[in-house]
Amino acid sequence: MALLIGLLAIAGIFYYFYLRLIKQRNYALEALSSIDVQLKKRHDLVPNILKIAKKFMEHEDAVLTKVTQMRTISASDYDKTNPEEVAQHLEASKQLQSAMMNLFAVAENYPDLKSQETMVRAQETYEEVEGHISAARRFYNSAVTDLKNLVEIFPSSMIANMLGIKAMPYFEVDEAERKPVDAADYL
Amino acid sequence: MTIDDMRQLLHSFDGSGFKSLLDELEAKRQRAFTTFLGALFICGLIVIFILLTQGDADLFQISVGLSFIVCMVFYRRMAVIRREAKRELMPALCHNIGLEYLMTPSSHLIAPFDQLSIIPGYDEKTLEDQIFGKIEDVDFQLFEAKLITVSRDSKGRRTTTTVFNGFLVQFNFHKNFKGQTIITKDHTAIGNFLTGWTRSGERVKLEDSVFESEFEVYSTDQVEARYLLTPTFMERLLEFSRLPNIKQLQLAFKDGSIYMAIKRSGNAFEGGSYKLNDPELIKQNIKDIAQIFDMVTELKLTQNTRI
Repeated sequence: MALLIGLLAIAGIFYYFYLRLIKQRNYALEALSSIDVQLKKRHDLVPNILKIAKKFMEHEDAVLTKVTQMRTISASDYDKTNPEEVAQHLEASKQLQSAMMNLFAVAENYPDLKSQETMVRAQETYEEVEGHISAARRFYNSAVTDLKNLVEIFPSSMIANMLGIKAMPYFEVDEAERKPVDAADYL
Repeated sequence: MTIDDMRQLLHSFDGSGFKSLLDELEAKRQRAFTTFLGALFICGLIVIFILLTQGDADLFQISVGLSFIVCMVFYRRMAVIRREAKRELMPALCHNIGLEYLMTPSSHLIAPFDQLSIIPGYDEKTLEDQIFGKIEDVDFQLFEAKLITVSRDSKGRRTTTTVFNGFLVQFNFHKNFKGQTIITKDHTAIGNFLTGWTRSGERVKLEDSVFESEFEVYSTDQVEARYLLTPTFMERLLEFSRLPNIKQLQLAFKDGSIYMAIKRSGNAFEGGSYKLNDPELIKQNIKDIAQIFDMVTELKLTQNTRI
């Protein structure tokens, strides 16, 4: 009888952690999907910005080509359950963001482009999309932290190992964004 | 007109045009006060007379009740004069800075705050002093609310409790959003668990531990909640909630607006002096109106930086 109760208790604990792990993994996957939804918005917006920029930035082929390349790479399919592929996907999206920031920085040298109403609107929309990506990243990182805790802390770590559930990579902020803002750059 | 221009214009308000009116109303108030004291004295004498000569408990109780009613009638005359002063002064103060004022707001204005559950449940409400208009490009409206719950004991005696006294404010928010995000006061683990059932949306766990310890966030969209509550905006909310005249802050984002329920002590827009021709009366009303600008400045509601 005692053995049966003991086995039932172990099974109960196992099921509890199993449930939490699966729920948390699904939650992290949902958060990852929400990033993809926002990245798709950026992906769709980039061609419009490039189209406007190309008219004025004829001598900036390298900048424009870099954006196009990064857009193609970041849009490639990946396996959401494979942490390495997820990390590569998130890295590619960071690269696209860097390329876009570079494009906007270079665009500063073209007053005609800067004053174009369509460009101003596109840049505003882009900033809004970036705001949503940033929010989605915070949601994702919060879900990843909870999953990581379960995957790394005993006894749930043992069950995670048995089920092959792995922690997912964080979506880190790009190095360029970490740098303190120099107000003089904008004056 | 910028917010700084509005603030400057408000503080430089010239009340001299109201002097004769306020002097006249103050004289009326003093006469009403004398009449009230006279009524109080006469009623007191009548009650004492009945007590000493008649010795009838029922008659005594009736005389006390009637005396109270008579005195209240005279007391209310003073309140009416005070309202008259407010009816003249507040619209002028608001118009001076391009805002509108209504002494008695429509009762339906409280509906969104009810629906969002950022105010406690109540049985009776008193709404007054609605100020609305635009600050720079931001539409807003503010009104004062006093919410009361009524309970009755086994003998049917009525007890009232004020559950909310303060401002209910709505500002247009500078970000686009579709869902609903509610930020309530943290009620500790058990309290949050019990009240969480009634909230629409999922709980949002934010990375700012100080904000998390003071507020609970529920939203229909996890990403949108974080889009609205950026780390910078959370800091602003914390600083705003710690202003000395704010006892409690609960807010919500819905339909492009930010709704705030600001619990505070005292009655706003009533002036700082009992005398109606005291310059302090205008000064205090100016200070109360300036709180709207403080909200906008503290939360940077006119700044279109998307952070």
